[in-house]
Amino acid sequence: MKKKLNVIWNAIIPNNPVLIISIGLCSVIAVSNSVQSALLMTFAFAMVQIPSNIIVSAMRKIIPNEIRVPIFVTVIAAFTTIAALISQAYFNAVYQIIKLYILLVVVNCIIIGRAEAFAYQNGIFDSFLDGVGNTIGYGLVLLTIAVVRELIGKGALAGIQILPDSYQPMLLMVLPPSGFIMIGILTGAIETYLRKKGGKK
Amino acid sequence: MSYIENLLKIFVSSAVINNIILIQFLGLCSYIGLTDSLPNSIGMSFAVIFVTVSSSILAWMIDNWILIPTGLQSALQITAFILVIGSFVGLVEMYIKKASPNLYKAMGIYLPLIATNCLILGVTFINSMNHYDFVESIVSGFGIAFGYAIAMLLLAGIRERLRNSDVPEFFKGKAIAFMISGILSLAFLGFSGMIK
Amino acid sequence: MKSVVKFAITLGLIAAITGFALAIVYQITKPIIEAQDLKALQQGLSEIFPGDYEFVKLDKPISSGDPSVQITESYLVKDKSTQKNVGMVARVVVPGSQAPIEMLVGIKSDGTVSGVKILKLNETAGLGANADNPKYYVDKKNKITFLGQFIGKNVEKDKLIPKEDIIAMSGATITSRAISTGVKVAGQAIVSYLKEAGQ
Repeated sequence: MKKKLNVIWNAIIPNNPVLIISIGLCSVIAVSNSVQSALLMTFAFAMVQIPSNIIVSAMRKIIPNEIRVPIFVTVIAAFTTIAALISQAYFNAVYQIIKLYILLVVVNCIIIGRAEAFAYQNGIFDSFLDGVGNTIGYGLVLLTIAVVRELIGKGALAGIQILPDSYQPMLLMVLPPSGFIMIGILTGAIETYLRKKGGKK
Repeated sequence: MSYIENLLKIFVSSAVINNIILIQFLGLCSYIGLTDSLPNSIGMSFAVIFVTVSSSILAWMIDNWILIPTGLQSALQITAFILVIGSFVGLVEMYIKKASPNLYKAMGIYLPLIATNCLILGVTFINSMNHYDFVESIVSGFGIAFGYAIAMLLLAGIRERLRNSDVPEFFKGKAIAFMISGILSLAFLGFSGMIK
Repeated sequence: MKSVVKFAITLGLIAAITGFALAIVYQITKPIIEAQDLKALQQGLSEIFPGDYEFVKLDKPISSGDPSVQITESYLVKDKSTQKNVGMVARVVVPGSQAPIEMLVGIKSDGTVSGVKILKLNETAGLGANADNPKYYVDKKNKITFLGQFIGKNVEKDKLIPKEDIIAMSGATITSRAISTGVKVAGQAIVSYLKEAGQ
């Protein structure tokens, strides 16, 4: 049981796809300026990552090595379309804001990376767990940044005003530059932490 | 406004005001990865210009000759775009491998990265969402790639200088590249006043 | 040769499975999405021309004459009882500073603006995004919103230029200009059409 849980944990801290392996970045910066966008994005990510891992794993014995990438792409594209359609039907307001980035989940390095590196070689249940773990790892980073940016930049969270009216929002926090800077700080933090840990050994 | 003015406006807007890397955040993987070397950045920029313009044309054809007439745009656009463009980039990669093995070796993993790259696909989606016609799509694609080149060269030049300077321990490595990009992004935001 | 067949079959199988899932989701979501669009449109139309009117969609939308202002749909507004043309509403798309802005522009036969309603807006938060904010007033004393100030202006006689006869949103010159240009260009195209169409 512990080994199974490890699969999930692995994708959250030690090998967090966004902060450690530095993939899947594009959408993180763009979508993290509002909590609602971050939530919808994580939902869309889950809707593609998890089924994709499951299907690739279920079919791994019959997927020939030579055409594995086009197959991954076909599966991922189909589920990205599904995620986009569902988002448009049920969460239209937020969807219209981040539409481009939801469409681009199809080329999200994380999803295709996990299909190649994990799902193609492991069992269905493990791949499911890996998908869940990566979604959590991705979602946590996204939400953390979003909470900071929206709170400081608009004084609100998910559109609900939290800080008093007298608070003058620092608009820059929801504009592009702050996205880069936040990722810079987080990357610096994690890399420094890992470097110190490695040094102690 | 005249047609030409409109095209000019699209070009400036895609290259500078909505700079694909610094404002729209697409193409970051190769941006952070390749800008530690100026020659690589230059080479990649040319490759990107070629691939974006070609993809813009291909995507426009798919949209206007197949997807919209059959009303299947919302169901099939993602799949159609990525399969066609992915294959196209694969062909380009094979060609470069044969024509110039040196260039191929230098680009390493980044060539296939262009295929699953937010940037190329992003350009096609942006053109589609803006309902650009054929010429507008090409101008937009070229403008975006040009903007990519500007951003790449700016950061690459800066990182070369950085090599010889004292970076605080906390930020060594990729982190400082992000911080600097943040400042560049701020500078580019200032361009929004440019369009009349 | 055998392997190529194997490839094709596997690819086909996967495509079939995922395609099937996609088709199901598509069937379920398509009506919902279309209903949403329709609802927004109808609400917009009746907000712009409140009263007893009938909206007739033209088969082919009128042309704006300006490549940067796209008219995607045109609705002739007829008085229900007299069946006379009282105006027209155009669905207009103009490039904003961040993303295309989609709006409904309603013009009466006399060339005055009956209303402007935004359908899609993706501008900078806190700046251009205020264009459709009902609490953001360009004229605080008289509580007039950015879009509200267009009502009553004449597309043929007035300039409709921000910072001249239109109050721009602070920090959002591009968005203000885009919307004003859209209203003016579409408005003029509508007036020409209405003049030719007569009653």
